[in-house]
Amino acid sequence: MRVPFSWLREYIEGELDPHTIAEALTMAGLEVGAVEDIEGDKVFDIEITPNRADCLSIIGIAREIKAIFGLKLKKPSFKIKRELKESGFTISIVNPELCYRYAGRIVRNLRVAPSPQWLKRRLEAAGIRSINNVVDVTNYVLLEYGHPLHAFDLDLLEGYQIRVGTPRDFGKTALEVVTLDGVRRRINDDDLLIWDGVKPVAVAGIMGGANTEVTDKTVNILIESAYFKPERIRRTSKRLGLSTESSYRFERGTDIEALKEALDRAAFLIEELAGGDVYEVIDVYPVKIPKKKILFDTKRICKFLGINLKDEEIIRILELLEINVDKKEDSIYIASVPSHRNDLEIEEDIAEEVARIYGYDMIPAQIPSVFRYVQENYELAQKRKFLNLIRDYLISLGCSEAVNFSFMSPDELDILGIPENDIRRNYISLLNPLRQEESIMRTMLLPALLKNVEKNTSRGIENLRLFEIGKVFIAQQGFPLPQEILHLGIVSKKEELKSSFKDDPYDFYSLKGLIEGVFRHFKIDNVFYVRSEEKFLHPGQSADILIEGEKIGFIGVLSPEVLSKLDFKTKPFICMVELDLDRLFSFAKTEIKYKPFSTYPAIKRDTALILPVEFEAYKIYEIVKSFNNELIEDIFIFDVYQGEGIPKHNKSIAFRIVYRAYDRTLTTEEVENIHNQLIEKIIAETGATVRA
Amino acid sequence: MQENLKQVFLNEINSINSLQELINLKAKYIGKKGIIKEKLKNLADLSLEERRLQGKFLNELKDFIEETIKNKEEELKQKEILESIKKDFIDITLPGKNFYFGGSHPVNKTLLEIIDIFRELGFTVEEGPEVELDYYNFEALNIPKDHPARDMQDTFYISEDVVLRTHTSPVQVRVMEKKKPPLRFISPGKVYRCDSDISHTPMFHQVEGLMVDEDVSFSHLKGVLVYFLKRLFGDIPIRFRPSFFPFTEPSTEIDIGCIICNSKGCRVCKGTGWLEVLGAGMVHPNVFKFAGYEEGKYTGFAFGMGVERLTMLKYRIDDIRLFFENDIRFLRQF
Repeated sequence: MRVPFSWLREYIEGELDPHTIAEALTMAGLEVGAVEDIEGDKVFDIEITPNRADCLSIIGIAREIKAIFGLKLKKPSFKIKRELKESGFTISIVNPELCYRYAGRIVRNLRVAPSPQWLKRRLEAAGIRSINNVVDVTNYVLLEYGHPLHAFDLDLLEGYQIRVGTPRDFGKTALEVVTLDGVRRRINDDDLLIWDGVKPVAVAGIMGGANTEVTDKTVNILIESAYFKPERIRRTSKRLGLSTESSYRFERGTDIEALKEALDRAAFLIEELAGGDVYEVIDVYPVKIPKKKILFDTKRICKFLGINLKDEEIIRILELLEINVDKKEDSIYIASVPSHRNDLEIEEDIAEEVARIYGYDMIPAQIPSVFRYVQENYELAQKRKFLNLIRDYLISLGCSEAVNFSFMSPDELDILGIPENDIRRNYISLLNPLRQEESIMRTMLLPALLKNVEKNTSRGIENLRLFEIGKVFIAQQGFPLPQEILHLGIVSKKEELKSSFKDDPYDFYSLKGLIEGVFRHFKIDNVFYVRSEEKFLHPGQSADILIEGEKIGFIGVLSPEVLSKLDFKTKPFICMVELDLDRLFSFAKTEIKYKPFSTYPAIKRDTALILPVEFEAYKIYEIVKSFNNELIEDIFIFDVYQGEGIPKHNKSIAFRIVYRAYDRTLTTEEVENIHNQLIEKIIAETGATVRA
Repeated sequence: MQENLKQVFLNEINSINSLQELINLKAKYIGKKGIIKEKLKNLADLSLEERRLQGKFLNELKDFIEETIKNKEEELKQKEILESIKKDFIDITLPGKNFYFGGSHPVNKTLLEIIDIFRELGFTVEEGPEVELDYYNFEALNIPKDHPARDMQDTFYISEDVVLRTHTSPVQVRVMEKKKPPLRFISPGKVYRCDSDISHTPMFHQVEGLMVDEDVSFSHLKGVLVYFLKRLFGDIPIRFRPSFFPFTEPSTEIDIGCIICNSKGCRVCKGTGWLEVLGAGMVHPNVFKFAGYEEGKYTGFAFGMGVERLTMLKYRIDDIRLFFENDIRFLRQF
């Protein structure tokens, strides 16, 4: 809210310095964001939190200043010069559940004209456009008292009456109202409207109707000052997408007791500025809001805040805030809440008022002296360690950590050729996305990582490795919330690799080695790689990753087809992985248990076999595993060769077997014997020949 | 003649260049069938005096040959090592193979730092879903439907009852439903607001915290948060301002003295000299009621902070959008 200081100071007795005031308001919870200089005046931009509807007015803020500094409030004093009786106009509240009070005054024979300079200037400094003297007065009083008013052209009201109710109250269904801004608004049958004898003339508390607008031709008016149920005003305002100075205040709760004073003030000012004959108030007030009483205990408040204040001090603060206090017993008191403070309801609210005026900065900062034992969420703690370790590992190996929005576009699933029945098509959509490209929750991490690669590439980065650890979201039939699954995505890209060395840290096997390092560390065996059917991967250089028969992800080179659809000027080599970390975690052995190891020497045997080119190396591992000899400590393939010396359509696979016993030194004969048996088994099962 | 043998041996050994030749030479002179052995065998034919003289001479010669061969062997080995070293010379000014740390994402870096500080204070970590029921995100936090406090956060909706969480506060409700005090935890994670401009992104990170026990006071809230801010930013000025959150009462916003301009007033602090970094307050009794806690038994405080904002201040990053572009030149700096 914009508050010209010159206006504010009129309501407080005493000398005030704008900067001291701004600082004090901020420290009392009315944050002064900026102080602007406008024509020699300081204008505060004050952020009013939703609970403090009473401060959406100049007088409300003046009241705060009064309480903070212990000063005196100067409310406007005025007197309507002449009041005519018996206008004969009727007001009826058909729906008292939504309208607790409705007051009005008729003014006849006034002269609508431009407002005087002082009024225009004040409104404009506060951010409101000047229209004419009548409308400006209603806005002026709105700013001054915080109570919204509305003026109707009396001669356009049919039946010489006002009725308040929803269309349903009048036996009508949904209908349309053209508001002052010229927009045709759709009204539901339970939205609150103001009606004359025939038709709706305003959307209650939000905006008047165009059909009864005050114009240059207006000579007779009805000024409205009412109280509407906040929740309903808010609902209608939200639905219509129409928030006004008026609805903003009504939905936060106005002061039902002050509405007549605001009405009188407006009538007085109109009489002053536009002339005319003011009629007496018609005040229909069917629902009284009971005065709120709050029981509080000063001892409890002091303990709750962590301070030591005398009762008298607490009471003094509350009385500065116009909260009357009666003693009940010992440290127990009853606070009577003034009608403008509809936010105060419980003892904690009283505590806040005391703390606010006493000063938050006066409360000592204390570290709690007794920390009782708190049980840690063990599973979550283990998982965080697991994730942090993977993150550190990838960073240490040169991958950079990306964070992307959790959104994606369904189009991206099409580009990647994700099949119709794939689980990744079970996405959830946002009802109100910001952009089409961010309209669903992501079901995979790769699309965003690929975009990151595109962006980096367009900025001239040739080689890079990125990873992201984040959730994907899969809709679950029959559950309101989706399944949230933590994924790891890694993508590496290289253009032409220029290096004085021969290694290629960006190929398929580098990425495979990277994730195998993770599997190995967490002692996850039973990992299988089978050719992947993912459409977006190169069919010859991709694999689904299976653990105990369950697919937990894929690894592969981006297919040339998808690559051609992306925005690359060159033809980079892109390799990627996406893994389900939740499932990986379930297979991980995070508990460490020491296992003793052999101190006896190992014996190594190297063998090279000639096999057809299509032969897949994993079979050798499988056979060695099924051979199941406890002396075999390790096996690894160290050379795969094709070319001179090897028959056509064949390759040589050389591997080493390491033998070691836990309790003795093995003899050469013993190992020779086992190794020969093993090689014979491999030959028998694969048809290999030993390379001479 | 014997003098001659020594000379012949010396001539031969001097022309040798390899260990193998040396082994051959050794065999030739002092091997089992070597020249010296042969000559010693032949001594039997000589007179006693002659045998004694010759024998002494031959044994001395044998010792001399052994000694010379041993020295030669040492010399040849040295030579061989030197030659192999010379062969293995490389250009040590050529750069090493390309190893490097990847960049860690600065937001996660800050997040982990925040977690570390709160762990020092005995807080544990809890998590919750990012797609959340309206009930946990709003209702149970004392933010009913049709309440103006909902305007404080622009919400992404999945359906009428399901939202993308606008803060990580729903985790506190979920935890309180399951556990009784004492509670002391933080919940870090991603949150979503339907807002995108120069200073807002539709997704960002928050850390929310909660401490509940008997007799937790506002003064404790201040103690814990002052400790946290000083550990994160050093010894900076801190102030607590009253504010409003529907799920706390009293509520406060916490400012630190602007670290960009040293509180002198700049563009970042909008001339005020202060930067808002935390929201906090004493847990509203209604929230305890939703959690099913016995009325009036417990008090507690809750706080929340935006990790992007803290990260921007910490590293002087001036555009929030940099966090989600994932430019490698940005990430590598952290």
